[in-house]
Amino acid sequence: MAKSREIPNLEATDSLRLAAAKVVEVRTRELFAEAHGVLDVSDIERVHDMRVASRRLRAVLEIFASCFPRAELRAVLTDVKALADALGARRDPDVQIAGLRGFSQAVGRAEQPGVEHLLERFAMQQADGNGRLEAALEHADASDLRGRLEALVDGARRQAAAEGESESEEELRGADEGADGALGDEAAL
Amino acid sequence: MKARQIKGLDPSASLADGLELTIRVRLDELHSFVPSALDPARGAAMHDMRIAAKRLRYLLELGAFCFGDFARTATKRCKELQDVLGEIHDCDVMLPLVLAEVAELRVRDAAAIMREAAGSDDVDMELVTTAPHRAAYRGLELYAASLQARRALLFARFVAFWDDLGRRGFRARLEHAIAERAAGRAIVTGPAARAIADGPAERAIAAGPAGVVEPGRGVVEPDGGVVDLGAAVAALGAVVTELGPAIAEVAAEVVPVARPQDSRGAIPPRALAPGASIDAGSGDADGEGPGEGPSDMRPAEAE
Repeated sequence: MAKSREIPNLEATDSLRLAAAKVVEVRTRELFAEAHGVLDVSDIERVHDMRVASRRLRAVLEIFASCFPRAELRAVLTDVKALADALGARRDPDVQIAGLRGFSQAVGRAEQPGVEHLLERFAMQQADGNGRLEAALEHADASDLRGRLEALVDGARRQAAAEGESESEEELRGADEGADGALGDEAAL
Repeated sequence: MKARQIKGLDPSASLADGLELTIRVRLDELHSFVPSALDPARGAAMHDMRIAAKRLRYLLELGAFCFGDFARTATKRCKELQDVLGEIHDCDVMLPLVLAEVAELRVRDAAAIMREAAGSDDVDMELVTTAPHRAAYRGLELYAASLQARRALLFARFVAFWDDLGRRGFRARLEHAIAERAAGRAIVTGPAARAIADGPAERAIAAGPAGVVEPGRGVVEPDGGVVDLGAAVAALGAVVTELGPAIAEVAAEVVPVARPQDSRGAIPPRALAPGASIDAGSGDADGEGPGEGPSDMRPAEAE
C-alpha cells in the first residue's frame, strides 16, 4: 500500500488554515499521481493505492472543512467520494478474485469447477467496476476536480497570508514550486 | 457511518489544537462501538468500527509529529485494528456471495432436472447426472467452509487485539499524549529539534508524557527526577524557551504552547470558535456510551 507523503514544512503551530493548504495540496498530488495505469486489471495494486489516496484526501478535506468555502468544498467532496466509490467498485472484485485464486491453489481438481464458476462471476463484476471507474475518471477530468482542489488550496493559503498566519513568502509560493517539481512527470487524468 | 461533525473549528487555531480536539472526538467514536462490535454476530458494528479506526488513523498520520512517540505507536495500532476488521469484513461480504451462488445453482439444477423428468411422476435418480452445475458444489461449499473458519479466527484475533489495547491503556495514553504537549511543555521545532540527537536534552524533550517543564529547574519527570536543561542546551546548542534569560536569545526556535487549565485541571478546547460545538450526530450507532479502558492507566514506556 502506498505510504502517505510527508507534508513539507508542516508545523504544529501552523494555523489550521495554513495547514489545510499544505496538507490538501500534497494529498491532492498523491491522488492524481496514482491515476496512471489504474484501469489495468493485471496490476490490482494501482487501484488499491489510488483508492487509499482518495480516502486520505477525503479525510483531510473533512478534517479541515472549516478552512474552505462551504459550497466549493461540498462539491469537491461529492466528486472525491464518487471517485472513491468507483475505485471501491473495482477493488472489491479484485480482492475477491485474489482470495479465490489463493483457495484454488490450495485445493484439488475436484474443487476447481466451483472455483472457476465463481471466478467467472467476479470477473464480470471486475469488468463492470472498471467501466464505472473509467467513467468516474472521465468525470473528474471533465469537471476539473484537480483544478478545483488546487483552487481550495490556493484560497486557504491566500487567506492565511491575509490573516498574517503565513510566515514567509516561501510558504505562499509553496504550491507552485511543488507543482513544477514533483508533479512534472505525473500522468494527468 | 457518518462521522461526528466538529462544528465551528476555528481556522486560525493552531494545527496541534485542532488535531487534539478532532482526535478526541474520533477516539471517542472508535470506543462507541464497544461492546457491540465484540459480539461476533454484529458484523455491521465491526465494519463501522473499522471506519472509525481509519478516520482516527488518518488524523494520527497527519498529526503524530505534534504529539510524540505514543501518537506514532497509536497510528500503527489503528492500522492493525483497521486491517483485522477489514479482513473480517471481506469474509462477511464474501461468504453470503458464495452461499447465494450455491443457492442459485441449486435452483437452476433443479429446474434442469425437472425438465428432464417432464411427464414422469417422480425423478429418476439417473437424471441428477444431467444437472449442469453438479461439479461446482464441492468447491463452492468448501470455500464457504474455509471463509467461515477464517472469519471465526479473525474475530478471535480482533477480540484479543482489542483486549490488549485496553490492557496497555491505549485510550488513556493517547488522550494523555495529545494533551500533555499543551500542559506546559515546549515543542521544539526546526533546527533545534534536529540538533538534539542524544543525551540529556533528548531525555528532557522526550521526558515522557508526564514530564513538565518548570522554569529555572528543567524537566520534572514522573519519578521526581529533574533533567537539567541548561547544561544540555549549552552543550548541544539547542534551544528551549521559558527556562531563563541565558537562552532567551535563541528562543525564537522554540514554540511555547502552555495554556490555562480550568478549575478541574481540564484543558478547554481552544480550537473551537466561541459558541461552537461538537455534534454527536449518528456516530454512536447503537446508542451506547463509549467503552472504557482502565481508567487509572498511566502512560508508561513508549511501545
